[in-house]
Amino acid sequence: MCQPNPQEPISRPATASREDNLTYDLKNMAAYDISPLSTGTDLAAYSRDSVQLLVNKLFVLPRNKGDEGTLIALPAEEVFRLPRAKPIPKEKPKTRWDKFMEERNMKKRKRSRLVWDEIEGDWKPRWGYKSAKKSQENANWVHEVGDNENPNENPFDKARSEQRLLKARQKMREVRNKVEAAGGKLRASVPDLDAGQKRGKQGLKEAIKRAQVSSASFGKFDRVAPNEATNLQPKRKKGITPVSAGAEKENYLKAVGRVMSGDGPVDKHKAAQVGVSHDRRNDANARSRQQSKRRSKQGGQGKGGKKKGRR
Amino acid sequence: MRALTDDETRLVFEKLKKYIGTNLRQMVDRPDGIFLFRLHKERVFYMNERLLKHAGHIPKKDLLSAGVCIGKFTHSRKFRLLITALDYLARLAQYRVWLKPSGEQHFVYGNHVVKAKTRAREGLVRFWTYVCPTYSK
Repeated sequence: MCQPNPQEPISRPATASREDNLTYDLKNMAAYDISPLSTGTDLAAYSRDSVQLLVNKLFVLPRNKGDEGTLIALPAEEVFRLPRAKPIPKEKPKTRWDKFMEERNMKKRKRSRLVWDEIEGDWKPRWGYKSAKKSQENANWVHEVGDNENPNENPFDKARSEQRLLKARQKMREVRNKVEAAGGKLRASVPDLDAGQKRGKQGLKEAIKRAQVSSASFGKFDRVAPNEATNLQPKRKKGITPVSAGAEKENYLKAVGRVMSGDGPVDKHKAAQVGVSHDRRNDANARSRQQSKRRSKQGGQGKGGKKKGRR
Repeated sequence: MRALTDDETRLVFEKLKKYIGTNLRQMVDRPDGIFLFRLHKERVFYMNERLLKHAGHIPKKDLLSAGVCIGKFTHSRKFRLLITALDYLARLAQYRVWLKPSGEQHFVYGNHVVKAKTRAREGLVRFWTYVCPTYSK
């Protein structure tokens, strides 16, 4: 908008040179002009008049003298309720951390993108390309074995596996938050037996459990190996206390109610498990793909013995 | 013969719900008497309370069936409906499909029911599809 020369302010009278044909919505400090314009109207002058009319209306409103100066009290109700393009977002349930923050009256603090990198002597980004984190990692190329440390243990591998553990814990917390937001409870989940990864002690126990009933007779007539645990299968509840017919009918009605309002075939705990294992598998695939890329770059000099069970 | 456990009841009802939906309540809540489910040799029977009392007199080994056999539990505790439950399913089913005679043949020989084969003029046989998240109607 071209401003008049400040040395020579052009002052026009505080009235509009046309009739008031505007619809006012003073709560939103808006005025609407729906009349059609004829070609050849001076738009600048026309809009100046419209603004003047609106300002005149605003100045008529009651004023309050407050600490911040004189304020006008805009009307409480608006004339036009502008519709929302999207529905109002649902309130998200608070995560455990949110609740903790509330309790301790903590506030969310924004971290700066740049940090001072002593090694480079410059402000570097906190993460990513040419970050301070990366330069520090490159600088720590030597690690002196401490007093309590095992000299045969690769300290870098140890640090990396610790980081991985932290990431896994964070992933678990995220999944748990999701499950709790959906209203469920994350129980200690059964380890998913994935052919591509080492299964560990928990996985071995689960594998034994599954193998024990993987025969035609459900493991009933199978020969038991020495020292094999026979009490791994979940015990089925036996012994139903006999109830009267009326009471049994009530139980049926309750069961029907539960089934009708059920969450469906989705088991929240299994879903959480699957989510975590999917992420793990994706991470493993990404890592193995990276490693195979590196090997090919070296001109195929890598050992051919290590085979990864990738699906 | 024994009553069903909570888990078993849930499995049976969930299976029935797929076919008869909200009419499941009608199976449980009947005006003409209290009807109960009983498990005998891994088969689930549906009978009147009076009939149950009579069946109690028969030794377990000699009892073949009592009431209507709705279905059976498999080795791995999955519940399968049996054809003897057809009477109840037919009466209480929520979604039904009529087939032309050609469609009927098509189905009997193992193929799925195609939309073109439905709506018989001569309602020879009556089948029904159930709406389940995995099936498309």
